[in-house]
Amino acid sequence: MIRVEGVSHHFGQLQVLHDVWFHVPAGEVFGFIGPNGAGKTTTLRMMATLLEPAEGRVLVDGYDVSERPADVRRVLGFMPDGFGVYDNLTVTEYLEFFAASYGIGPEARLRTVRAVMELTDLGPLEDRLVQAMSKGMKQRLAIARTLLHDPKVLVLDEPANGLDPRARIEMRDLIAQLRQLGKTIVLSSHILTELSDMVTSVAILERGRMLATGPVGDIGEKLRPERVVRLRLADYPEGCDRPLRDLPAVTHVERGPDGDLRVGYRGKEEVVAQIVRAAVQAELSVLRVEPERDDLEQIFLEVTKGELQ
Amino acid sequence: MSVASETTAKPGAGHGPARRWTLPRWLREPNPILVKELRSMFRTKRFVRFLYVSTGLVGMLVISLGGGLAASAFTPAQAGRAVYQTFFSAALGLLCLVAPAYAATSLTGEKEAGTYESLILTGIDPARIVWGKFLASFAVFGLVVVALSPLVGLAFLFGGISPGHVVFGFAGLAVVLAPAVALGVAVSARVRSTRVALLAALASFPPASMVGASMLALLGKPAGSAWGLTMEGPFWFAEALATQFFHPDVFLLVVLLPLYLSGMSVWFFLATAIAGVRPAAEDRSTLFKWWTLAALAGLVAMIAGFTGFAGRADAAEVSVALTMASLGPILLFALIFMNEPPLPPREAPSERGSRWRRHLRGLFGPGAVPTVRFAALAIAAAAFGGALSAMAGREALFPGLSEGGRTDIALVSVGLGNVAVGLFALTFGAYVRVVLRSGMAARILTLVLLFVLVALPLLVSLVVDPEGLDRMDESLPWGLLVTPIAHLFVGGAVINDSTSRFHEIAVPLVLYGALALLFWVLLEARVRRVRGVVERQRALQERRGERRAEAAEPDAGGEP
Repeated sequence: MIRVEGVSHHFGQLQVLHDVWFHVPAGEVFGFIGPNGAGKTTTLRMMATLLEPAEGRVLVDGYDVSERPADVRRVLGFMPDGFGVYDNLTVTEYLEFFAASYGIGPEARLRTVRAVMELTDLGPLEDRLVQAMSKGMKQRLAIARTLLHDPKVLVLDEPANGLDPRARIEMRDLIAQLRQLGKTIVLSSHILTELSDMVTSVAILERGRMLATGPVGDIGEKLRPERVVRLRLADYPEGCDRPLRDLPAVTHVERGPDGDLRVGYRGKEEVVAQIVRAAVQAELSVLRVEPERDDLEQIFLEVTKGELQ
Repeated sequence: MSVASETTAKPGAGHGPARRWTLPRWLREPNPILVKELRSMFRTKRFVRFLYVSTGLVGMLVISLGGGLAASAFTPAQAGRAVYQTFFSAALGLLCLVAPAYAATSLTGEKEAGTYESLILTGIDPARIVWGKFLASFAVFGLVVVALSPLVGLAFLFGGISPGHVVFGFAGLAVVLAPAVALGVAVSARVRSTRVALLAALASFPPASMVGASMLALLGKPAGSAWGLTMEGPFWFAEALATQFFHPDVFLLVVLLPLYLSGMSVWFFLATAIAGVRPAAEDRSTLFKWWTLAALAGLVAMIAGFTGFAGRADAAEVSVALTMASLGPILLFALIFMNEPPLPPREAPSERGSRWRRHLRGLFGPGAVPTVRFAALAIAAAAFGGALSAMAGREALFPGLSEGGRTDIALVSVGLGNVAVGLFALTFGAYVRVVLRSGMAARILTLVLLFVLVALPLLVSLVVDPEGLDRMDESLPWGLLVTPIAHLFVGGAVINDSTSRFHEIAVPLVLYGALALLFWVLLEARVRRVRGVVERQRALQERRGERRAEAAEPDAGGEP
């Protein structure tokens, strides 16, 4: 759906992007992460046709953003970081204004606005002036605006920025709903714990260079070829780890701080089944099996150097 | 969170092929920017305060003046006219000061509030944005004028004023208000900061309008003696219109000419604003090409018309003087059309339209070389259309005025010189634009170069041969022959003197003609080079993409 191919960009003498490549398949929720100044917003603005790459190209739904910006805008909805709203309009007026600007005819306009308000839960606020809304509601209104022309792709720059915990949870739910509607969503955020619940793939950018891209699990696997599964047993008899150590894929077995057995292994997830089978055959009472997830924060810390950008 | 429901808009609604705007459609689907602006404006306290203050100040001025005049030795009719002139002058001053400044914030406000990009991304036609902003500002100040209008009733109490005076006074305000607002919108589209936009608007329109109003007041005397008017001050034209609307001179000079100038200014400023809102990848020059065609028609008509208006004794001099003055519009065309990117915009609708239209677009459409081609034709038309129409008009109105062909030679000399200088400015600027990739730099460098080419030889001539300037009636000093205004001197000399100095025109003509040709050739070569580089880069990018996709295929199942 989105292809970023060899994109480089500079502002004056400052090179902000260096030969960046990545691909966002249709239907994905793609997280774009990196420290401040890494080039995330620059890349997102290129996708949204607000900036032309100095080198390379960006394709959205097959259209080059530099050559066919009007076609790209037709299929893409963009919510910039620090977006503005028209304070003196009501929610309905605001959405009707944008619907008219998108060229939605008067007959379909109110229907579209009502559908979008229902989707984003803005219905109860339809007659409220925008200036009287909370930050979270304004954020929601901005997303509603991007949905009016039913775009295939949504690009959201820091959508959870400045929101309180409840508003963040609601935003996460809204993004999940939009994914269910088949939208491809690209979003950037600094709040990695939240991103990890939402995204299917990520791109990690630092100092304008792409450090890693792909599904979170794949990146974790590349970074740390060894995975860990935690076993909780009813009791831990002497030598309970021996049958597990004997498995060829298992690299190590140790007791974790909470007492669980932490079994390190290489290879695919089928190894977990072998480990459980070996434990059962050794007559160990397995209460719980929990693969240790690749934590996005951990991946981010391992990939980036944390240098000032 | 409610149950997910799909929006009813078709994917990508509103971005389909543009439909024609007709009056019924406009009424059914009014400009959303206009509606939004008016809603927002009338909901602010700021606007209400402004209405109070403006009506209060103008009211105080008019009422105190009226009171003073009532107690003075003025006749009631004189007092009424004085109150009338004061009211409209005050309203004009208020509009000239506040309207461009207000309009100048219309788009910068959006840019600073962070709503501009959201608006642009809707795919709304930039022309609709600009028209919406223009009409909204015009409507707001129209309302201010309506709020002020009861104050002019005081003039009726004194007498000496007819309803026609008042109607045409308000019409005059509208004729000034439209370009004032359009200028503000143009400034707003071109800069990012509200502060800079305000400064630019306040530094340009109010001083220009003050000069214009003073000139208008000065024109009142000859107009009064020609048409028997009694009213003085800048609003004398209202009396001319109220009493002699269909008199040919009045209709042409006081109705058509101001309407044409105001309309052309509005068109130019709005085209500037639309070009400012359009992204770089879109066609920005076609609007100015249409404007230029209309300006050319007006220019030619004006030269012919003013020659016809001049008395028999002055017709020849007037036609030469106007042809000389056409160097101004010619340089304006050069400055407008030098700012064009080397290649046509990537979204130019080159596949649309009939074969002829496509052919014309290829010849004179967007892109540096076609635009220079168009501008060269416009410059030639401005130079010779004016000269030829002056010659033809003069012969038709005043047969036998050729004075042995001297005036015609002067007209042709000036026309040729204007073409050479105009083409030089155009091609030099266009070449600099393509090399430096900056329209602003190209315009500044061209203006500086023209200034230096005029001032330097003049200074050298003054130093080397101080008496040379006194002998200009006989022959131009060599230094002045190389300036871009030499042909104007020669043209003036030919009409006053004899055809013997015609050879002097050859020097600037050959010099600037050759320079124009040189820069045109350089421009074409540069554009070819840019096209080659762009095509190579595109091919390279394609190959890189394919190689990357092939390399990633085994790992990602075809998804690099």
